[in-house]
Amino acid sequence: MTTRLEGIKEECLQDSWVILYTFIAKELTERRGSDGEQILREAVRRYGCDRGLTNQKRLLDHNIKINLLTLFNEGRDRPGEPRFTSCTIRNTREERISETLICSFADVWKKYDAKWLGRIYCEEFHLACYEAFSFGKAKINLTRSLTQDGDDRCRFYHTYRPENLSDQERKLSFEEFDPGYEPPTEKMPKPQGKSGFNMLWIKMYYYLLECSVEALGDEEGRALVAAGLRRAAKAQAEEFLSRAAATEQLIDEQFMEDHLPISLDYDSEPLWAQYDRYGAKQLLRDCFGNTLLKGVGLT
Amino acid sequence: MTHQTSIETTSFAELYRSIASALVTQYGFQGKKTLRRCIRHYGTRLGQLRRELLIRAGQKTNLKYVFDCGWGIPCGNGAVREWTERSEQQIRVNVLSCPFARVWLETDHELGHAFCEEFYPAYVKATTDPATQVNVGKTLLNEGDEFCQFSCYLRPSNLDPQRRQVCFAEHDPLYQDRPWSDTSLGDAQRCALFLECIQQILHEDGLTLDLTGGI
Repeated sequence: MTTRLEGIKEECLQDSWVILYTFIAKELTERRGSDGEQILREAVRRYGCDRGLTNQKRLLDHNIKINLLTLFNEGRDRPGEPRFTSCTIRNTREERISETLICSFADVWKKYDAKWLGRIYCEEFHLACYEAFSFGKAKINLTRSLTQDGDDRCRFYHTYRPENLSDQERKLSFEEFDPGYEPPTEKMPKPQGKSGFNMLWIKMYYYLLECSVEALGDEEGRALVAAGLRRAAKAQAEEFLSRAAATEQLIDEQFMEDHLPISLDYDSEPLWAQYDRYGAKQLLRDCFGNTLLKGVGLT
Repeated sequence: MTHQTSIETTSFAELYRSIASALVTQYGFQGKKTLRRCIRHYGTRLGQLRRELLIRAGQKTNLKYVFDCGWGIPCGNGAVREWTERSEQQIRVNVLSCPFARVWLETDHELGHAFCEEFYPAYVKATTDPATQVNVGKTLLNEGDEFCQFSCYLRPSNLDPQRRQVCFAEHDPLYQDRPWSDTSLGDAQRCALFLECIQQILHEDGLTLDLTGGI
């Protein structure tokens, strides 16, 4: 049984990602207008593509087929959390229909008056991620979304047809086109809360930084992201203080370890080996980490 | 007039049904591959024609006119649409009744569904821009769906300056708004174009089609 406090930890881990995205996105679009929106959309696409390709490789390395059934089972890399509510209407290798009725991403975006920034994420992410996973061949449809005014749910309808694949892609996707295929006997581990959200957080941050620097140059790009990180850290600190007070907890190192997806012992995180271009790690330490620690009363 | 219109809006559906059935019957899986390629090609060609028409009329190639006058979504007798949003960047429309779907539901809804899956992304992107996002969330041919649900988005931020200028008036300093009269797309045109496309794709795939007793 998951206790409510355990559930709150999972919620905080996810909300931290939304806070990061929101305040860098606000900085981008407030300071740079439509250019900032262009940067944001490209960053989300790259983030989605990274996750899609990473998950594809992970499944192929484990001899698991690439299709819509595996995308939403073994291919899941985002950990679950208690508030998210959806119903799956159809889930086969070739089709997936689902509706999301409660999305905590959307709720947190609304809380920070950033619904339209969330809308941008919804428009760009799913297409990029699921197309990357599926060799560019799945059709991704999101006709309603909770980040869209007037919608009461997200409506996803994806299709993936063997007729549209190359011979090699078909073999990698559907067992009947791979004679002699033996599925793996061991189940793949599900994404875990802390490590899963850590990965998502670092990747989203990295691509926001990368796209900002590419578009605006090193100085302005980094300065803009730095400002966004500081705003995010302040919002994060307020959130932690509120949560800690509500649950009668002390904010100490253990609290930070449990509720923040990233480690503030930056050198211990192996992902930085791949995502530390543009001085990402140092910028995060200086502008997010230190600001957050100050905000919650830790040094 | 009503009788003429209802024949007009079902002849394409019947042509498609004949060709699609024959392809799959004769060639099985290869037939399905060819069929989808043909639908995409048809969608792209029709979109290119729509685009050329809009540009010749001095209009911008955004989402505003993409589904008008029978282009894209059938209109006329038996086609009932419910627009919920219509702008240059964003269109959301439900189709409550479709003359094509009525024909396809009588025999093989799967082949009809293949049409909707492949046609709309190809057509809308060819009309507007490859960066357009085309979402088909429901179709009358899908079990459990009571209407077709389309949402399309074309964001200036996803276009380079040259493409933005072609799509959106506010990004074209030389644009002059002038009245224009749209041209309807009739079933005869749809059929002729579809036949042209299927012949091309069959030729590329090295196939022939026996439509004895078909069209």
